[in-house]
Amino acid sequence: MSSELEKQLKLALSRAKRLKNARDEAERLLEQKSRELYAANTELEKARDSLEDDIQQATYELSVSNQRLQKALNERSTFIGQMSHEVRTPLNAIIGLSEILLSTKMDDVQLDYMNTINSAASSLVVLLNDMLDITKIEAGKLKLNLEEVNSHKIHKSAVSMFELEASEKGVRLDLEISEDVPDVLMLDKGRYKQIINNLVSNAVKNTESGSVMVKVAYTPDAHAKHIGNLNVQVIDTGIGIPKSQMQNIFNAYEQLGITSKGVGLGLAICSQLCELMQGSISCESEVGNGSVFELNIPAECVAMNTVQDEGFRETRQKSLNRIDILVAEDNVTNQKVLTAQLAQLGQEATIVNNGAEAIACLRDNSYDVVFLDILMPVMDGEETLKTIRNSSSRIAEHYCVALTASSYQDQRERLLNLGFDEFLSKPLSIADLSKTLENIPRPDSVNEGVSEKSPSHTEAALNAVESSFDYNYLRSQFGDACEAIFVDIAPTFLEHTGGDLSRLKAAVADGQVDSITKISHSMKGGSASMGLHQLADRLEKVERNSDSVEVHDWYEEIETLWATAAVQIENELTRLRAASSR
Amino acid sequence: MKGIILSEFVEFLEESLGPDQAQTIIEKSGVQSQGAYSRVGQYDYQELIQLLTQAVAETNMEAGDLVQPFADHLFTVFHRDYNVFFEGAESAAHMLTQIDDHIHVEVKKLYPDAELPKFEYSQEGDKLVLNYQSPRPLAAVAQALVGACLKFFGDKESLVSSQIAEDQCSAEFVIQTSPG
Repeated sequence: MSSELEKQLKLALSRAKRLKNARDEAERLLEQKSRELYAANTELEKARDSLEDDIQQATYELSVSNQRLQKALNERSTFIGQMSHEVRTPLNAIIGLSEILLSTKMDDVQLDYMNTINSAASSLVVLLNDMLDITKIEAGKLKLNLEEVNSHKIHKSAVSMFELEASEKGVRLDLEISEDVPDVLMLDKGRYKQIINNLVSNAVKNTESGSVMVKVAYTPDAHAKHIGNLNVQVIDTGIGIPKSQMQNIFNAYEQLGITSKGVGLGLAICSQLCELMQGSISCESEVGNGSVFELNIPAECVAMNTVQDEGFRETRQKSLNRIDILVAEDNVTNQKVLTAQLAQLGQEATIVNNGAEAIACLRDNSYDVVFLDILMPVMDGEETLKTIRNSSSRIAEHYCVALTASSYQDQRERLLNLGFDEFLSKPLSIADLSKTLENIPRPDSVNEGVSEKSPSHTEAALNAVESSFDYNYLRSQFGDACEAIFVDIAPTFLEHTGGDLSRLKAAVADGQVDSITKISHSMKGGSASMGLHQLADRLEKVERNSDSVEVHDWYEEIETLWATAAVQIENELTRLRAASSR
Repeated sequence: MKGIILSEFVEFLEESLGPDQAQTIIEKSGVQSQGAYSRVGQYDYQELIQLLTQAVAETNMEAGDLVQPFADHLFTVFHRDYNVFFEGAESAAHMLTQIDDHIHVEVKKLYPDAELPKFEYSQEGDKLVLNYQSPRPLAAVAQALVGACLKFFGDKESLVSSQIAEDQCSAEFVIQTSPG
């Protein structure tokens, strides 16, 4: 029995020893495996760190080279801008002097040479402008300026520009605007016209016989009725474009290489402008069988087919009670215009020159509404509003309307968020002004008493002696009173604009960007109020691009436009004064 | 040879013959490790042959009668501990065809020091031909494992022929994949 026990014990010991050995072996292996894992992990960490270093280094190098490239690109744009300005001056001399020579006595050969010089210089100017546009678009400096555009008018005027050229060649030029096209669309007028002009010009240039057809259509969006796709097709029966060139016609750099009857940079600009407008442009063509250029641009529909007379629009002015109005506006012309407009609505206003003066008035008096111009010296509109809103509740609760000559779209929302109750964009229309006054919350909003001013028809009298001044805008604002208002505001406008112009000239010469912005902004408001839209457009261009090298050129245009306008205004003043003394 | 084969062989001996006889076989076989096997360790394959030979001598059993139950036992352990290799296996033939391309690839990742036999296959009509090749003369064990695999999947397929080379290092097994 004891030997059996002994045997059992021995077996147990042997098994225990065997198991212990196996366990020791397993632990040794585990330890070894752990070390291996640890080493592998360390290696991986090292690799990861070095990879991160590499990435960081590469990122840094990329950002440095990116900055260098951006700088080079900016320098290039500036260089091109300056160069084109430098080139333009001698080109103007060539064009101007060759035109003068063309009117002198020359033999046929000389005439031919001179014509060639003149047309060559003219095409250089076009190329120069195109190059500037391309540079600007590529540098991302070109911003769209959406505005309400009469869709019929813009297409008619674009096509009519080429009617003479087409008829001289015996080519039919037709415009077909579908009934679906809304009357008023939101577009960047200048840039859109640039695209259409380019396409029609190319079509006429490249067509020797047959026709050029411009078709305009509009498809409203299925989900949002106020937006839609504006589709324009320019179809010609001209020479067509070879397949080999088709791919490159919209590419500025490829286009430069083509020396045959190329189309310059125009199509490249069209394509880039389309892209900027979130639209597209395409072309189908066959040599000898003409070309079809198709444009698709998303556009907001502002007014459907409610054809309106561009002249005087009768505004439905409701009778308004006497309203206490305070206006803070620094521009004297604008002050006069607003006063006159308010008078049309049977209202009088207290006018002050800046925000600080407005605050002083508010301390002593209460008003039903306060109009605040945004850009003013001493205290601007925004600062004034903040002061008003932070004052005692009697002052803080005033109904405040922002006045701004800026047509930037985000401006309205920003100003309303700041605490303005309403926003009005200059030039003010009498209808908008009337609507704003109607909306002012007042304790007794019973509309009675003040009679509606009925327009007395003095138009015939006005037209008896031919007027050199374009009354269209003033008439749209003041109806029959336009003449009286003109006499009232024109002298101040002449005086101030003359002064502003000399200050603008000095600022342009010295390159004082801030002053250029401020002066052109102020001048723009005044010009628009007088209905001098071309001048106002140029001034807005200067205001928005005051750091551009093109400012010099624009200033020259402004000076020319002003010279013409000033003469017209002075003549008109003389005419009206003479008429009244009769 | 991976320790799991040897540790499971000792386990199998203890379960089927009793701890007493298992201990005797280990001692008499004179294996260098003295039967102390860790399943993750690496050992000389000769120890398996020594133990097997000693077990045959000790029990007077046919070698095949020991090897087949051991293979069945081992296959159950594989299924229990390495279930992941059985996922998606629809049949014995399917499982066997995956040894080289899938199972051994993964085993190598887990145990880089493992020395694995080659298990090539070809499909000839309804027959699957398996080619076993190993530097170690363990073809009989391989055949037993093939048998265990067929049994595990319910004997729906059968081993119709097996040819083992004299040196026991290579073999060809033919499996009837559809019963008939």
